[in-house]
Amino acid sequence: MKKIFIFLVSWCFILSTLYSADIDFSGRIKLFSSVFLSKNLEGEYFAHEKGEFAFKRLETRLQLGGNLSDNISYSIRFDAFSQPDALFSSDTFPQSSILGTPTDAEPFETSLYEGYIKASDFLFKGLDLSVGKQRLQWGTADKVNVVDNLNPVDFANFFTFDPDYFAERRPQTALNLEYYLSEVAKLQFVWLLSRQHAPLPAGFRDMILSGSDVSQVYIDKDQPLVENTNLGIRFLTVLFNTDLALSYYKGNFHLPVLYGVSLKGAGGSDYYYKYPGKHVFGIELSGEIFSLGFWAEGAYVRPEKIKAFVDIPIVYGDQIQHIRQKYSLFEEGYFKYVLGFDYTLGVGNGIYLNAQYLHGFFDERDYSSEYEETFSYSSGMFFGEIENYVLARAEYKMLNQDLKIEFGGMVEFADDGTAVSFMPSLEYRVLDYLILQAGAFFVSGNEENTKFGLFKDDKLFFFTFKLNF
Amino acid sequence: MKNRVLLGISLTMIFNLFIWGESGQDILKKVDERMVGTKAPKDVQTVMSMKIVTAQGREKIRELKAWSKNNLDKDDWRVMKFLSPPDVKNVGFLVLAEDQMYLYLPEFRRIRRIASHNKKESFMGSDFSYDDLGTAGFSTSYQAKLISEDDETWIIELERNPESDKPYKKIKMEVSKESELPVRMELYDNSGNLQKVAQEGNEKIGNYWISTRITMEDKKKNSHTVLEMKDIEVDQGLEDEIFTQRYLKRRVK
Repeated sequence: MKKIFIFLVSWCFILSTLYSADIDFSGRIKLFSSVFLSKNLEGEYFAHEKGEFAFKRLETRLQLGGNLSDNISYSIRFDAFSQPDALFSSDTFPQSSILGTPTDAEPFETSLYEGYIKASDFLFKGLDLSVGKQRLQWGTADKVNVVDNLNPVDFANFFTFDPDYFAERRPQTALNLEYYLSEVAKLQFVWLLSRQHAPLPAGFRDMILSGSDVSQVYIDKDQPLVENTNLGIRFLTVLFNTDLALSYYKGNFHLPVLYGVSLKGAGGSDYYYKYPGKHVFGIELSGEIFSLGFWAEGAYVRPEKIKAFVDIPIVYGDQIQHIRQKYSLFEEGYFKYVLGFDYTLGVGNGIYLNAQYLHGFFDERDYSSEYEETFSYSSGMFFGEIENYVLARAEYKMLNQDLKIEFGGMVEFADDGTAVSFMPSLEYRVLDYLILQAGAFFVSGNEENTKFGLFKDDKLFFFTFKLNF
Repeated sequence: MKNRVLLGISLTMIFNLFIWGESGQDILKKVDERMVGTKAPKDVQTVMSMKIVTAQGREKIRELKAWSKNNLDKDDWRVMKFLSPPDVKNVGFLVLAEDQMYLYLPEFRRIRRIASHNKKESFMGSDFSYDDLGTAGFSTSYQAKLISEDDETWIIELERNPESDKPYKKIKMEVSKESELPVRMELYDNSGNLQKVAQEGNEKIGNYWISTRITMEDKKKNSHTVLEMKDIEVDQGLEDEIFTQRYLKRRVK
């Protein structure tokens, strides 16, 4: 990785010199630390003492960008970080902090976060092509984009409760064509060169294996064939001063779905996961009514028809044979949507309010009722059934926007309970280049039957230091 | 009889003009003509330096590249792209109409539409609001009356039209007779309190008078921002495509 990095940096500098083009060089150093404010030795996800570090991570980011000619530009971003996915340890689950112990000091990793070349007016005027690993713009809602199935959500970092990683998405290797039909209309075609898989927290497999009757876990991934690549098409325009987009995506679920269990009696059970295919038809709107900003996204998801199974052993004579029971995995089709608005109250410097109603979190799907009964999948659990949320935040900026106070929260409405998550934070820009941030994450509500209620005893305080250059 | 009446009205009008000179609304129209009318450049390209001085005396410098296009029959268009500091480099701001503004956030490769409630908000921590840097022109939103004049300036007072959503209820404007552009503005909030004071330095670039330096002082926060324009180019025939979301995403040189 180091060699690739040096090679690419050298390459950029050489090209820039050759083409006498200027080069942008920027980056960030960030230290994120969080501490548990409560004791929870029997938590389902975290086990910790009060005052124990939950997470300590140093991130560095290096960005290079430039123009090779008037119409061709490039952008590269490298991230180097201490165990990016190491929320769960690989040995004794659950263990909240890898870097908390001296024996695991400095396990740094590097990653090519983004790297692409963009050609404007490629082949003919109005056609832009970008090729490489890139963050694709898809959706108009604030972070919780139900139509965006191109950039998988970064679940590896989701449970750090670092606000920078809430609903953050990962760039994908893609070929992205954007054709501007007019000043206000665009047609976009994206070809993703592989199936897409959301990064999961390290130790996820161990967590599944820690189940009482699990002996083996098999995760099926499609072969890297051209027929198994994904694509998206999106048309954007402005109608009656409202931004409108229609989209279609053919691809796969980004998170694994349990579709089979083979019971083996005393020997435990084998669990089968896969990333089923799906088609998503999306619509997006954004605009304003009486100076109130609004946006809406709707996605009709049509999953691949898959039969889930349970293999049950029966004793037939002196032999054990299996009977396979089959069930439909998903409903034929279902909707996810988000409705949101924002407004600035004219109090002091202005209090910014932002609220969204979300039907269907990233990991949620509409399973068939027989599947739900057999596999005990319901609303109020990760990878469970679709439920509803209200996400809201209020921001107030002072001292020429150097100080930002934010109260963020989310209410989860599950079938049998409600949980409320709070994320207050304070951000201070000490200098143009230096930002300090402190905040907390805590949950109140039903612990048993909600997804985020599980973190009721995992109250966190976090502190972030960011240096931009 | 009819001719006598018409003659009487005409004489009264001439007499009034002779006594009172131009009305406040006439002067405001002159200002608009210079800013967004036929006497304004068809388009402008410039590099702006924005110096923010906080109440505590701390200084922050931002650099922007800006393009604007004067549309006689509709709102003027503006694009601004940040050149520095590093954490906001390539952040872009596009104004197509009073209620159609977009912000490009390069970190997320995302264009976000900004609703007009944000117009009163500070633009990137400066003493300018989004509205201050948005579409120009006053006469459609304000009624003006002449307060006083001397050899060099007119002083007019602008009252916001009831249906307008402009952030300032009242503006006291000092207009240079030479450039026909504001040289000083007192901006009053909805409660009638003095909120900001803008001082403008105007220069003749080619055939046009242009504001090349604006100091915006926030009387409540006790801070001020100096916006200076350099490398000004006018009437370059800027293409319409510069004022699109597509261009907003492009890396600025």
